[in-house]
Amino acid sequence: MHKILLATIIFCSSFLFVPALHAETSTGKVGDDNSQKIQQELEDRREEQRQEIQTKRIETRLRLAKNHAERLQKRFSFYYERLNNIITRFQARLDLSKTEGKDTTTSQQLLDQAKSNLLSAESKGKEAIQTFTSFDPEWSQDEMQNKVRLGQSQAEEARNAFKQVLELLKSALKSYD
Amino acid sequence: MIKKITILAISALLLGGCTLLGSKPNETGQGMDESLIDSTAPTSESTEIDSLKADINNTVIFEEDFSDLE
Repeated sequence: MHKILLATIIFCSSFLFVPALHAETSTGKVGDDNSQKIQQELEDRREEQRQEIQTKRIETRLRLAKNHAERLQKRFSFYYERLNNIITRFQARLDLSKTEGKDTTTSQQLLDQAKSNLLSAESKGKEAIQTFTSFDPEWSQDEMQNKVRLGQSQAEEARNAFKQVLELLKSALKSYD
Repeated sequence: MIKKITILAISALLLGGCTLLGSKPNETGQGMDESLIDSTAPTSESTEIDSLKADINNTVIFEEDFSDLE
């Protein structure tokens, strides 16, 4: 009799634990869902941060390119104006010397070359400035890097051309003496 | 007294450090560029050979620096 009673009690009490077990399982599911949600949020936030960094990087590059364009514009205009002024005055000097019977053939040749090189330097300078002003925020990293290299090499070419003009003027001056 | 001097020295170091960190280097040397160009003697209008010589010798073609874009 006691055995039957004990078995009944055990059987009934087992029903008491079923809802508890069930509840435990549900909590586990909710926990999993929550952690997945947090994981997703973190991932989204990281992606947002990556995007922000990328945007800032592009903005900085565009600003720097614009600064370079302005700097080169100022510099190359300065070289052009200055060298052109010297060439004009030098030509006037040579014209005067020719009327006085002085042989200015070599100086004139060098000055003519300087005039032609100055035009080329000016045009190369404009190309470099154009490259730095044409930067587009839609470009990829590689495209932007290629444009930087192009602008750099164009600016360097323009600089060398201005230097050549200066050297030609020095040579023309020497041959005049 | 020594304590006061130590505090003053540390404060001075901190202030100096903060000032250095706070100062932003000039991007692309714009300011330097302007001063270099402005410091170049202007050309004369004379066609005398000495004047031409002086203007040619005072002309400098500056280096280009694009390191900030690398």
